[in-house]
This record gives sequence, structure tokens and C-alpha cells, in this order.
Amino acid sequence: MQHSDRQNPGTTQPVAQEPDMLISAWMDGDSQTLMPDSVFTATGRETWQIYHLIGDSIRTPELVRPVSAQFHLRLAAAIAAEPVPASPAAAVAEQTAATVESGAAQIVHTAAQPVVPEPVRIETRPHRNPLRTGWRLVWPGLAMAAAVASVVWMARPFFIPEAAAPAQQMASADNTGGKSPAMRDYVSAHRQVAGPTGVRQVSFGASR
Amino acid sequence: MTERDVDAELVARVQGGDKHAFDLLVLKYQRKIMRLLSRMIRDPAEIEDVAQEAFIKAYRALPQFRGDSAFYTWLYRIAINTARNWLASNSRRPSTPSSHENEDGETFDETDNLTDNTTPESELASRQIAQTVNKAIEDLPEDLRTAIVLREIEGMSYEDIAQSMNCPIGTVRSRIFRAREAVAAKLRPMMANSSDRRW
Repeated sequence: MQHSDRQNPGTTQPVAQEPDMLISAWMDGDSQTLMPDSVFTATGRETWQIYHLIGDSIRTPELVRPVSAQFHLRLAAAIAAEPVPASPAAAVAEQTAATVESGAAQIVHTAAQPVVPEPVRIETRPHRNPLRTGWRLVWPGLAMAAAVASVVWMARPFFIPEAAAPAQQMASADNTGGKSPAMRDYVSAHRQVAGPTGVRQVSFGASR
Repeated sequence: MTERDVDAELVARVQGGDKHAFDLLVLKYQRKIMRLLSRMIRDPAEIEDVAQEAFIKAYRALPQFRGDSAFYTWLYRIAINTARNWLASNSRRPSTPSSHENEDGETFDETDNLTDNTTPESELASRQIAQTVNKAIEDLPEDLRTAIVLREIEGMSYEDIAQSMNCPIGTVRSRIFRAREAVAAKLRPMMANSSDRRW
């Protein structure tokens, strides 16, 4: 039989306690008893079950009603087939990640949309350089793609928390005024142009 | 630490991936849930089906359980909703609980206008269990009987029982354990003989 030793209050001698006594004390919320591992054994489970049956019978005899032998088997099989439930923090994180992915997917989708430049009228002149004519079609598309990419880059901190961390560090550094005067001037000028949110999104690559 | 903290520990353990901890919660509250459902559903087999569904729903919803209410209160609401949905989907007339029921779920016993659907066989088995427990409690030495009554009926903490009985907490712990074991010794043969039912 497994025994777990605990200190007897008021003495230094450990007292061997039966596993069932630990289950009995823990299920009552005894503040001096930690969750015993024995409660998760087959014997401990049976002890837990019968102790609760005794309590229900003492308090409310009408509660004492049998269930079919198949009830626990079916329920155990159903629970075994279920995925492990996440913790509340993990559930919130998963929900946040799903929102982030949805938002990022929309931006990526927008960026991936084929850029259809406005048709350029090509004047056919015998002396016109065909290469230059082609680039007149490409340049608008490149400009559009660059604009979209810059928007995605600026919006990254909103969707990817890790990308915001360095920016936030820099924002806090800016607030504490621990940077050189030149840096403060630069940030101040940037803020005047882009506004406060723009400052937080600026990433100073040298700090990484 | 309270009994609510015990449930919270088990819930946290389930959320950590231990499904055996959920089994302990089922064993603890199955009788209450069954009795609740028996007041809404007539057939014992269907009661078990709905109870199973309610427990599975509770298991799936555990990530959303933050401990703002007691676990049983939360489980109670899930069971009620499961039963109502089941009645509606099976075109049964729902037996809505009376106005005496509160959302806490711990006073649902006051819903007097609901019928209790039990079979004669289960009624007999329940009566035998209850009689055996009562007789075993009466046969206990006075100190053991007092300790377990203060705990199970009065709901007193070990500290309060120790103060009431003027003894150390370790003695309270021992007395309650020995009382339970004395009663369990008489119950176990009865439960072992019931191959087709569980408690």
C-alpha cells in the first residue's frame, strides 16, 4: 500500500497517512492536504466514488439512484474520443490568433490582387524605344505594389504582437528620453508628420 | 480551501490534459445531474443519454469556464439547456422548472411541481443504500458520528469542526476518514453485487 508522509502539525515527525485518508481530507477541502495522486488510481477512484455516495446519501437520500453499468463506459469512451480541452488562456490566445490570421489573410489577399494599371495609350512613333514603352506599363504596377507592401509593413504590429514589441520598447525609450538628442529630434519630427501611432510603429532595426 | 477549490483544481487538471480528472467530477455530480434530469425526462435510458450529452458538452466547454461561478452551477445550467434542447428536438413538451428554481442550482430541490421519474427497481435499490448508510452512521461511535455529521450535513470546515469538538485538526481528519470507512465497509458488498448498475 502506498503511503505518503506529511508533517504532523506541531511536531517534526512525519506521519504516514493512508491514501484513502488523503482522499477523504482533500475532497473536504482540507487546507492542509494537497491533491493526492492516489485519487487518480483505480482504487482511489472507487474510494472517491463511494465517499461521495455516502455524503449524498446522508444529505439527500433521494439523490441516491443507480445508473446503468453502461453509462460510465459510454461516457468514458466519448470523452476519450474528444480532443484535450485547452486552458482558458490558451482558448483566448487561439481566438486572438484566429482573428490575427483572418486580418492578415485579408491584407495578404489584397496585396496579392493583380494590379491592373490604367491602360496607357501607346503612340506609335517609329523612333520610339520599345523598351521604354514596356516600362511605362510596368512602373505603375510596381508603384502600386510598393504602396501595398508599405501598408502591410506598417500594419504588422497590429496583427503580430512580436513585431510590436521592439516598437513598443522604442516607444518607451522615447518616453523615458533615454536616447540621444538627435534621436529625440528625429522622433519628434516623425511624430509631427505621422502622428503618435506612427511613432510606435517605427522599427529601429539597429536596436534588434 | 473549500469544496469549490477542489472542483477548481480538478477543472484545472482537465484543462491541463488529464481526462481522469473529469471522470472524478462526473462521479461527484452524476447523481445530482441525473436527479435534475429525471424531473424533466421520463425514461431512465433517455435520462442517461441526456446526462451523457450534458457531461460531454461541459467537457468541451471547459476552456470557457473561468471559475466565476461554482462548477456545479455551471454544469447545472448546461444540463438544463441540454435537456430542454433534447425535449424540443424530440417533440416532447418541456417540463419547465418552477419559479422556485434559482440559477444557482443548489436549491432546485424546491421544484415541487415536477415529478420524479424512477423505476420501482431503482427506487428499491436507492432505499437499500440509504438505509444501509443510515444504519451504519447510527452504529458509529459518538465522536466519529459527530465528526461526519458536522462535515456532511452542516458543511463545516475541518478547522471549525476541530474548534467545535475541541480537538486537533488531525483528529478531525482521522475521525471523518474512519467514519467513512466504517460506512463504506457495509456499502461495498452491496455495490459489488450489482453487476448491472453503478452508483
